[in-house]
Amino acid sequence: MKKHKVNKVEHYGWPIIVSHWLSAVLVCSLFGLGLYMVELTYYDPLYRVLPEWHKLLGVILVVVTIGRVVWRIAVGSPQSLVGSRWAQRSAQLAHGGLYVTLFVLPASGYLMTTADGAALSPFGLITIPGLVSLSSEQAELMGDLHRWAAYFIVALALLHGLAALIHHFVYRDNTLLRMIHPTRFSIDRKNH
Amino acid sequence: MKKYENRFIAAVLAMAAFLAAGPAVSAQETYIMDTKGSHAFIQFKIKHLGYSWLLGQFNQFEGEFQLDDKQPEKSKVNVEIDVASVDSNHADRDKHLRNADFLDVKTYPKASFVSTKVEKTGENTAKVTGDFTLKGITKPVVLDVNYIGGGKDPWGGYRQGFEATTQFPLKDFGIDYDLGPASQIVDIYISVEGIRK
Repeated sequence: MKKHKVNKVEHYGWPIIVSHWLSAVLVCSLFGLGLYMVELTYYDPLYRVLPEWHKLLGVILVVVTIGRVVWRIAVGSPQSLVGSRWAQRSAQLAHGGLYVTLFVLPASGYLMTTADGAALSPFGLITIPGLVSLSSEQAELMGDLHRWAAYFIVALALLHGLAALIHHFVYRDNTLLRMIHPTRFSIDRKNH
Repeated sequence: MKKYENRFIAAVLAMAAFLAAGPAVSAQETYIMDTKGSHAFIQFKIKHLGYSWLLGQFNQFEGEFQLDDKQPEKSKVNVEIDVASVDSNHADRDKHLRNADFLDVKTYPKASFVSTKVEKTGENTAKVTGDFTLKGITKPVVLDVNYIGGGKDPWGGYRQGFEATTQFPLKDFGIDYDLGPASQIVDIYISVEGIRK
């Protein structure tokens, strides 16, 4: 029943398109912020501000991701265009990897920053209580996981972008365009 | 018969004398720091910007001391600290303290203090010099020790407690992260209770 419904979807709707690009911008910003903020020294004016921004954007990304996943499950997504079985399988794996990492990242970040049981409260705007106390070793583990997951998602996102460009310029299909507007763009698919 | 009786009394007296003298003869007693029951603390404080004190402690360590009441200078103490247990009541700061900017706990997981000299300076006070190792650097540090008290505990054991203070510049132990001119020196406060072995 669900399978049937998924296959019937012809294009991505605005909620998916907007949340996709918002996630892309957030992931890139968070990655840059994360790399930069840990190098700041004590007397840098941004020393106390950037980690707050990183946390706030992280919380926003979680909200966007949850909404996106719920929407995707409810509405379904269109089938992938052309490509070998291998390419389609790889795309599925990459998308799965991106979604999983989108949860691993904020989870590890949250656990590391609330390791002492204190709440996560960026700029005091929103407060998410600390639920678990971690030992130093566990907190360090979360830190390592956070860092490696960040490298992983950026590498995967680059592959994802590259694949989109290959679809657009080599296969000349609508894979990239349908993620920009639900209906406006269309390349005539010569091979189909 | 009388002869044996005298011998028996002599033996009893000798035993009593031995028992009475016993504790005095074995003057050196070993005490294990009660870290399990958390009656032992290693705390630090350092000025924040010069405006207030930042306090923290190491939650995990173990140590023991030997007390010699006849010859106090023969007393000894050693402690090994699990540096990763640094706790300043702020997860992000603790994570920063554990990394290479400060304690670098991955490379140097342990800190230690091993006494080399004990000098009694008063009725209840002493200066304990020892080799302190932090971040792989070993330097002599002098603890000002104050005897607090000792005696039987309610559970059949015997305890003695001390407090000690010292201070040193962080950069002596390779910690040169710029915290500002007011935050160069860290103060250490130690309070330990030892349970006699």
